[in-house]
Amino acid sequence: MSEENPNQEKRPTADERRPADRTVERDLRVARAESWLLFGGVLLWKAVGSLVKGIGRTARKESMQTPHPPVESDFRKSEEPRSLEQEAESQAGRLLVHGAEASFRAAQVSVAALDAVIEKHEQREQGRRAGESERAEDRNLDQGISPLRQERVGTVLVACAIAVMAAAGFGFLFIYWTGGSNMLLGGNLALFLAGAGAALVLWSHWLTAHKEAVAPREPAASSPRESAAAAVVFRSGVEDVQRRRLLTGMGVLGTGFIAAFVVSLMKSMGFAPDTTLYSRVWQRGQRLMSLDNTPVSINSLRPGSMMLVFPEGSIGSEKAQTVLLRVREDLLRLPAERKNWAPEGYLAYSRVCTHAGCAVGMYETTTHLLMCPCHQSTFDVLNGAQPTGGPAARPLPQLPLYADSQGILHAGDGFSAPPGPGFWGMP
Amino acid sequence: MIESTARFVDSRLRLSKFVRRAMNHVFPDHWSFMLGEVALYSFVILIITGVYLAMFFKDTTTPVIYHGSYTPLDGVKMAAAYRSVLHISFDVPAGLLIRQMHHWAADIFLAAIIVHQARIFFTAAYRKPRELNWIVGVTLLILAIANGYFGYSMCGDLLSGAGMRIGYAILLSVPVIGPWLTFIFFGGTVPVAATLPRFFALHIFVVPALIAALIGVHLLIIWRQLHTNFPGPQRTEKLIVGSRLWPSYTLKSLGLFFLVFALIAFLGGLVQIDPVWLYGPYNPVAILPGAQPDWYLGWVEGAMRLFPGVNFRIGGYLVPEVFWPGFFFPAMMFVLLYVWPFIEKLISLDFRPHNVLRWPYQQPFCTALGCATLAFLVVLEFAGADDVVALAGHAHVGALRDLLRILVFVVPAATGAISYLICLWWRRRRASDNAGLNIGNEAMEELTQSQ
Repeated sequence: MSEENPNQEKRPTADERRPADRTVERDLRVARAESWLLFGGVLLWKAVGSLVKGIGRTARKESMQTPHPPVESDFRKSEEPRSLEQEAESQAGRLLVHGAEASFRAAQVSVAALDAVIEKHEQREQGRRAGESERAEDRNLDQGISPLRQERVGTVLVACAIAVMAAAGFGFLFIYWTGGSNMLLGGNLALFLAGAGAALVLWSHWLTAHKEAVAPREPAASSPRESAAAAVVFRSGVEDVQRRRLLTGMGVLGTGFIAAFVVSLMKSMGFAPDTTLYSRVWQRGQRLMSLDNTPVSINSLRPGSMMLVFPEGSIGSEKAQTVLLRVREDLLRLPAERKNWAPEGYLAYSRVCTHAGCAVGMYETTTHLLMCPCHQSTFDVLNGAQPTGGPAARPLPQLPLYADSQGILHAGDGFSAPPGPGFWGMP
Repeated sequence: MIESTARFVDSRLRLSKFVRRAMNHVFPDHWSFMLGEVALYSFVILIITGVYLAMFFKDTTTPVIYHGSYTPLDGVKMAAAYRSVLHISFDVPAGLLIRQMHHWAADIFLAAIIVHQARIFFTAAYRKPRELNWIVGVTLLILAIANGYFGYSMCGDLLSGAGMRIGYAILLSVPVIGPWLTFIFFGGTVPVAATLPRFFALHIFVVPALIAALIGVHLLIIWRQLHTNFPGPQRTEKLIVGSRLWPSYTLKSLGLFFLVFALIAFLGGLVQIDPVWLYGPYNPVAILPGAQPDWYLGWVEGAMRLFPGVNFRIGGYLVPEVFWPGFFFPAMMFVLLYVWPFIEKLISLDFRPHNVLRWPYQQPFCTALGCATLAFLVVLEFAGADDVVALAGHAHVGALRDLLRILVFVVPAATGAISYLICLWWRRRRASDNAGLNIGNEAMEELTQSQ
């Protein structure tokens, strides 16, 4: 690292390298170009070949009518006729195999060609060295992996990765255009991308010069002189502005108006909470209806069972969903003011959890507990749905009930509180 | 060709000087420095797949009858949004692949961000002058979590409907402004038709734009300040050691992009995620036992399940129980993350700038704190699935919850103590190693100065 430019590492310039190295490099460049051409050519030839074969086979299958099983089948063990989709998929699989095979062979051929060139060079190099007086430098070349070997290994690995990429890319296109499954598409896409990624990483590892670079770090902060100079410029600009108060006024006024615009626009998005938050949903006298829109009577449930009910006209409503249960009357432990809310042991509670608003849909008949499936809060049905476990703090609102002369159940009033999760203004 | 194009541009923008310096820019080599890149590349893949999905998705809850190729749901009434998701999954060629890749990319994006941030924390890379980038990073984490939530809430299936309702309850519980926030955000009491277009606009325009802009800021700051180095030969406060941007770093990083893309394509093609057709359309009266949010919100879910039902009124106004674990707790966690670099300064009384990292064993207290926090989150993550865990272990949910209420404090404390002791042991071992060799490098200096 030289003192005046530490950002530049030492690379041997073209003149510093030995002339023999330069000829090797030039020949290698030619050899590499040749092998890539060869690789591309073989790949194209094989790809076209397998495509033609595949299309021919598909055409033969189609002409043979479905009842007759195709004669040549590689994978089939049983005699069951297969669906067209299965056929298409096995075709796709076979083509994939062909494609991969073709690309690997192409890579093999091109690498073999490259190998031959390198071999020739090494022989020539040895011959040259044998004739010359051996220098210490040359002996060192033989220790470890030689640059030529590194080139060769790297090229083989990168070519293999590119072969995988090409095969899988071909497979993806074929499967997409023949309407194959998502799994095959995903697998081929993954292989294609993995091939590309592997090629780049291998390239970086094997085929680029590895040099650790060192660079200086600048201090994070500005120097006092720099910041002082900036401050001087800024202050002179401020002094240049006439009537500074007017400018401040404009700023305040403008910001205020823009804030007012934003707030006004939010009004269109439902700015204020409406009264639905406070609604107790049911009205006195409304009949209890089941999900199939029939009124519920005093004979609808046996003790220990439950059903889902709604107010007339709100079947399926999220907020109005109510759970109706029947328990033995002697078990009830309702507070005194709710004594008349449960005719014949019928109890109705809001089905929306007071914790986070899920539907409280599970009932343990032995313990008389309603349970929320989301956070496992439990509510004691016999005691006004008071929470007994889990994170909920407030009871499920209860619906007062009465039965008319025909035994049809009606709501005596709205829920005892607004149903659903709690909020700041909740009564 | 390349040269003539470069000459055309350069003769108009005078870029040569900048480009030369850029190509010589040095990036340190360490596997843990790739985690942020993984996050960046997952974001790119999210954009690519997301644009494709947006062409087919319908952001309305208009009720429709399904007649697509997924016969088990034939003739079922559902929201138009859910039908469009089914259409993408079963009728658009490669649609399911793209949809699953999008979801997997989101999960990998978040996982990479979290592991990246853990690396920053455990090596104290957030110290001066990098506090600003830490703050940008925490904001990116919050935005990523929010966008994940918006994304999986839009599908219109039963699971996403439940998630939307819980999100509504959490926002509603905020004292004073909660109901207003909720009505601005959700457009009414959910489920309501106005919610989906808002989530859609946020999910595909607002949040991605913010994330993209902040990623830009993040990278610019790294570019300006240069990356940190682990302690080592030549890796001092005044020198950076690594690979140059061109060509080795570019090749490696581009390779990493393709490998991340390959992993996501593999998962998207072969590993099922969020099979919305199994859950059925959202129906407010239907229940779905064993439902969990995506894992990056599982810790909030766990806190909501473990927190006791504490409910009180201030001047007659209610502060609901769900506010504490659902809003206050995650908000506090993020506030603590934001201010952590400044808290650390007060603890260590070290206000100098640092470009050389600390190994975790060189900062036993911070490492113990980080391990305890991670353990805390893992226990909460388990608590977020306590019903599933109870079912699998034939335990009673209530009993398991009581146990977890204890473990959520015991496990982090034990983890913190054990990691502290490991750090001390490790430090002593390294100190005796170094004493024998008698080398006064930066690491040694750091070692004697810390603590």
